[in-house]
Amino acid sequence: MQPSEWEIIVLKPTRVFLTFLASQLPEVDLPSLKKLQTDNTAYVIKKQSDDEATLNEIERHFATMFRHEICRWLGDDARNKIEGSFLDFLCCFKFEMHTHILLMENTLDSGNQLLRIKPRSVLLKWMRATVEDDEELVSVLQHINLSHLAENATVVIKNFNGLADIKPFLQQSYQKIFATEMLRMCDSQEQWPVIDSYETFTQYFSVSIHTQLLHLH
Amino acid sequence: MEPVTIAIICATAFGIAAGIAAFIRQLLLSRDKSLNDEAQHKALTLEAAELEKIRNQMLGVKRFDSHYQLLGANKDAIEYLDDKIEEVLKKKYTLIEQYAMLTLKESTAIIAGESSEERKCLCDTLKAEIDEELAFYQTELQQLQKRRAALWDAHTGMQDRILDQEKLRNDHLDALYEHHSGVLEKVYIRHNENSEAIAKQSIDASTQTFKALLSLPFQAIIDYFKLSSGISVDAVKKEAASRDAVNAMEDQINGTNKSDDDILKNPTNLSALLRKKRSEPAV
Repeated sequence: MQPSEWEIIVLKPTRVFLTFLASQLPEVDLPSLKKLQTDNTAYVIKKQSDDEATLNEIERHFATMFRHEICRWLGDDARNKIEGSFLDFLCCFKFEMHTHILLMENTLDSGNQLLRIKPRSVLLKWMRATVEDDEELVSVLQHINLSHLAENATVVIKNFNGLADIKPFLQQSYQKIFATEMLRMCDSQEQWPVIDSYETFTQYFSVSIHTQLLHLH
Repeated sequence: MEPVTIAIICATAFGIAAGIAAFIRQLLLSRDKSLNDEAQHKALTLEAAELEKIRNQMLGVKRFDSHYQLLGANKDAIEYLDDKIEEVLKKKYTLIEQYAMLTLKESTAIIAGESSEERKCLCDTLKAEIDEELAFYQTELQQLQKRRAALWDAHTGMQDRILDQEKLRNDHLDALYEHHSGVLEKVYIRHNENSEAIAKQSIDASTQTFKALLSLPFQAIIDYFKLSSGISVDAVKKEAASRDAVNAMEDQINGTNKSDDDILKNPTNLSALLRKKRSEPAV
């Protein structure tokens, strides 16, 4: 277990970014918001001492990230004045921060792809069942949804030659991934749900693929 | 397939929870939300600083007056019209500045979660009234400039300089107004869950193209974006195809027909999962 020197930002496009694309390509059928929110770019930044410094770091890099996002859709040569506006950037993207990292490459710098492990409803159900005797926790859990659980969920840094390599990798490594994700929640293994097969793992967790991990540090 | 190295990296503050109870208690404190909100507050503060800078620039503009020494019989009448033009531009600036301050205040409220359709309607009504007022100022400005041109009997080159200066100021004001109208609309759409729900329903419900969806609330902001240079239409198609492939792989991994709802709707399956007794450590 190592303390993190880095943080990972996943940029999730909003309807404002979709509208921006629509304004740029009025004659082209653009993808749905769902597709826009698939395979979002992940960026590595240096871990800062507090949230204020983290925001400063994001502000320092936002123009680079904004340009990259625009270029992914409009081509490498596309340039727009909007790249310079921090407020437009924040309207176009929500950022999701991850510090719980399973590194499966020699160094973080050599990692170019990332998998995000997302808890499913069954895990939330398990959590409710685990604390059903504690009124206070039951009350807290009534206000919890999957997006709360997914915040800072485990990300796996691992390079693949192709998309087809991902499932075999998960089938082989699901126990390690499961353990890492559960350690985020609770350090006593006896409390964890029993995951004795890849199929059971997929009942509790889904995986999102991020084919671009860019290093800003 | 075996990785060369495996390392678990975590932050101290948001790392391993000692027990499930501690983890559950901190779930409601969303760091992501807090960071996103803080970043937007910061960006709005930058906007306010920019507005202040523009205000100072506007106040610092010195109107040409050297032509008064050169003009002939109509000098007094032209000076009077110049003053009236100046007055219109100042009134226009005051109106836009007040609106810009309101958009920043309203945007801050939206980020703080105080958005409501009622408040947005009030803002829309106010904007419609300001639009009318600005159109009136524009007509007045053009009429005054026309009257002045009719009186100008010499040194027409100087008149062109004055017109250019007035045009520049007027264009800056229009840009300022458009910018701040855009700020409010974008922040509103970014935070309004209802418009998101409508958009999602519409996208899910049919195979209609994006253009057909533009009757939705985000139509309001499409005109606030300027056209990029160097756009490649092929890049869009390539990116869309690449994401389709990723989406298909995610479906294969996660199971297209195995949504959370499907798992939860199958109580036998769920109970079996939750009843499983631990016989050996998972790892």
